[in-house]
Amino acid sequence: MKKDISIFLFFLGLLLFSWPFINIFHESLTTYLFVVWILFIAMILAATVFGDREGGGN
Amino acid sequence: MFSPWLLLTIILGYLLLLFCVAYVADRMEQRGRSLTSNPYVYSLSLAVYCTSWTFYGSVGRAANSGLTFLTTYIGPTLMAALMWMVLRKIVYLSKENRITTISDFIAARYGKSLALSVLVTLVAVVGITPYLGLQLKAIMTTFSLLSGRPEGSHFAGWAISLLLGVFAVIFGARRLDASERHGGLVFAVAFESAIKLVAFLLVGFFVTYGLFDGFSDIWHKMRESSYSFLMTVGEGSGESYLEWTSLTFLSMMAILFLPRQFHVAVVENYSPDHIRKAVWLFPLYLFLINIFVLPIAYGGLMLGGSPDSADYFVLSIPLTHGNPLLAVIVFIGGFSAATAMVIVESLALSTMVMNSFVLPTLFGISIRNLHTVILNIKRIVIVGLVFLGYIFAVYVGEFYSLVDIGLKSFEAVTIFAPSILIGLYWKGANGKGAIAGIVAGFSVWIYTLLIPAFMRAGIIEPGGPLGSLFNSTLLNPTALFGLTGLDRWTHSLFWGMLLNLFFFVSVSLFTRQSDEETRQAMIFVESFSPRHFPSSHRPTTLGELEDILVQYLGPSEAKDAINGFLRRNGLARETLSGEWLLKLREEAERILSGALGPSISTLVFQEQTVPAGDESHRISDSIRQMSRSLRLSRQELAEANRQLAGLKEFSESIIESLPLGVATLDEAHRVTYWNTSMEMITGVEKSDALGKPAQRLLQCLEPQLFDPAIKEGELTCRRNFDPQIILKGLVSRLTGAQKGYVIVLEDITEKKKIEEELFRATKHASVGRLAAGVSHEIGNPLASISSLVQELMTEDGSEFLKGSLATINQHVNRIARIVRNLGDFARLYPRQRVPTSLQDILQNTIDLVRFDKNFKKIVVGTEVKNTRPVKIDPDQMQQVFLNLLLNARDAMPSGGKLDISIAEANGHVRMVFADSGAGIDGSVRDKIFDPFFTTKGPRGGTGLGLSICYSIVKDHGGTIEVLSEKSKGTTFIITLPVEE
Repeated sequence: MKKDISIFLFFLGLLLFSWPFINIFHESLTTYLFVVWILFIAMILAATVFGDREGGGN
Repeated sequence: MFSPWLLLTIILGYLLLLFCVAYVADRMEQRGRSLTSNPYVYSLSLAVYCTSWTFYGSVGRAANSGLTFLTTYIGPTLMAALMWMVLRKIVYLSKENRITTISDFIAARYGKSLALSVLVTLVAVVGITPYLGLQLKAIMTTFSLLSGRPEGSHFAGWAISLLLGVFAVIFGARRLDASERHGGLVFAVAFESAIKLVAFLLVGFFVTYGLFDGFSDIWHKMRESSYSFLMTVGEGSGESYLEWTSLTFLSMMAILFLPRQFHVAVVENYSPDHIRKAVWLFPLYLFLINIFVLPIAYGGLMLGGSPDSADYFVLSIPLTHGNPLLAVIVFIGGFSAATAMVIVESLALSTMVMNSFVLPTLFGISIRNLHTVILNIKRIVIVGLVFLGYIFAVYVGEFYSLVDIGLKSFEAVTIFAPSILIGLYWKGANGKGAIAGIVAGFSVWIYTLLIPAFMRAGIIEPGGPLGSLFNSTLLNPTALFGLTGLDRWTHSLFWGMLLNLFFFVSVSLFTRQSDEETRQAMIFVESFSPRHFPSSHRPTTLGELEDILVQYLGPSEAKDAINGFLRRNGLARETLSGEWLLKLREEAERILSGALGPSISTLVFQEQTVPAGDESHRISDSIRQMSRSLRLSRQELAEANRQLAGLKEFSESIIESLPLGVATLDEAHRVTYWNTSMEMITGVEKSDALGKPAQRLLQCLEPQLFDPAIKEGELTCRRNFDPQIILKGLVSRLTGAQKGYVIVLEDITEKKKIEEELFRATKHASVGRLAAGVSHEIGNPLASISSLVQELMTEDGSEFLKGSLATINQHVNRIARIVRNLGDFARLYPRQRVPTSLQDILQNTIDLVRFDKNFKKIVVGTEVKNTRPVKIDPDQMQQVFLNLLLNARDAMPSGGKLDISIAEANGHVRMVFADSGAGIDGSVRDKIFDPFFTTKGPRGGTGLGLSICYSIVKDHGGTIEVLSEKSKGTTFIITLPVEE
């Protein structure tokens, strides 16, 4: 996985799992959290596969 | 209900199964067919993070505080994104330096500091022991719930603690080389992770689909109940966004810095490639184990359960709803979660205690069979730590929930975060700073989390002196320095991190690193292998090295280590060279580091290889000298860089400030530099010019200017847009390393104009002097001739004489007119200037020529605005107007139009005479004000009319200019200053 993608994903996750997003989805917060959670895992998986194809990352 | 003996049998049976699983994995490992070395087992072993807190406590937390339990798993999920970057580096450094615990990692980073290792171990033991107790508490409570006999749970807890201690000893302390992986143990932990996941999913499925109609049914009922506030975070839920953020941060740190996580993720890592898969497999595990937490928690509440007993809904629901088998499975799942944690944590903590406390105490004491003594002490420490947890569970644990105890441990390990994370990327961080930061963080942890717990448990009396102190506004442990409005976790985290970071950074900045710290900082920050640094020690003999290893590892381990090294490198004992001996010594130090910790390992080898007194001084002097030279070189280099940057800025500033256009071209004549003046002169922006062929931008750049034979070439350009300007430039070849050309362009329009003016004024002055002389010398005799001729003409005479006299008179008159004009040109007589109306002069002049027969064909239009009187010589100005009117008449022999306007603006009067006549050819336009220049032929005029106009206007401080094109008429513009 590339270093810059790792950092990007980390901050994206931090944003999605924090205020104001958890406030925006206040009404259906449980669904929001679990959907974002599984999507975030999928993004890490995609970044890993992409990193492998690109040559192992750094 | 189940009989306690049946439950103990189940536990024993499960542990036996676990033992078999671990044993098989260990045997396979020894045969070279590792079951453990794969990313799936590695990911499952990371799930040791999910303890009984997850299994039981998450449901309790969800039933009491809603969704905030998720932060414990979202934090590690976020951290997983960074694991490939951070964890891989930690693994690499740990393998290279044979680091086996988090205390050794921190100590090794800061110069193998024993003091730091002791401090970190102390914090970890104090912070984590309650967490161990939490697991045992969970086992005992669930045991009581299933057996229905609370009185036996303490004995069961005691027995189970002993069993777990023994299990940890068998698989974790079989031999002393702690850096060796424990394949069997890790496989057993992974197996337990699978068991607890399956058990939790089963009970979750039972509650969601067995007792309710799926998720939507539970959600619907929950929304309509009084517990609906548990489905949100923030306002109205009782849990703030700030607490959500703090708990997420704590979990992010815990996944990296809990000793057991460090052990499974770093020490037990077989390959960095396993991390690559674990970064998504481990979060997926966390996701799956949390899917049914909310349905179980909400379902339990809907079924009439109390939030106070929610920690054990997982067990109580199947038990009270007729599914005892499921309850047993759940009990095994919870037992798995707890045992995995207890075994790995006690193993990790025992290694820390050994390396930081026991071995430094034993070091230097002569003991027979030291390695056996060390191994046995380690086994005792493991069992001791498990029992310490048991004591906590029995005597203190009942006051706190599972989550409460767990979060205190999370806060404790977060104290290590600055020293590790900043230490991995900042070379300037030093041991003193790390100690100061950790002491500050730990003090805050004790004050803000432990003291309130003691007060709550009644250990500190609220009315006593300490109680009064802690209840004061300033030193209240839950609102330190009057800071209120924060939950206790955020409050502790805020003050702890603030002081930890402040002391860590400031002490590091204001104190110096030792040489060892500098070396270790290089290894950790730059990820250098320690092998890249030459050893300062002399090699000892192979026998001496073997003796050292035998002393601490035992004969068979030492022999295996040395033979393994020789085999890997294809070497024989008898022919081992000095270079290989040195490498073997480094390998031995690393092996010993794994068993004793880096601090003691270094001490052991220093004892064996202390250089002689003088040699030691010489070496340290040389190192100091080299360090000083390097420091000076770095400073000089930095200073030179600063000067160079300043010089560059200065040069650029000069070129940019020049009023000359400067451009540089490469050898292909493409623009490489284009200064601001060049932009103004050419009207081409720098961004448009760079990289373009110069000849496209400056069309006057002839190809021959770039002839290699020519070093410098001149060029003159005219800009083709308004205002038109004349440019003069120089093209030179660049000399030096950089090839190409430099072009310098100057705007010479103004200079050219001044030169022309000067030339004209000089010419007028010379001609004026000549005219004055001629007028004087010829005028006087001519007057006599004229009067004599006219006298003779009155006399009688022949016709021929009369005709001749008439011709003479005619020519004399012509000469007299020329002489008079010359006199006017030379302005022989001083004139008086008086304020005069230009309008009046113009009218008088027009009246003078009105009756001229040629002028009658011209339509004169005047537009005279009210202007102030101008201080002028009226006669001379009339002369100017007259000359211009006569010129217009001559230019329009067949008639035409003459527009005359007078207007005042900006302190000047502007007079325009525009005719529609023949116009003036461009080639002669610049000469029309020259004396004796005429386009009317020899009989047409003297060529002095416009010269006189020019001289008179200039004399009055004004200007006269002409605009004309052939066949398009001529316009004369006169401006005169209005004097106040």
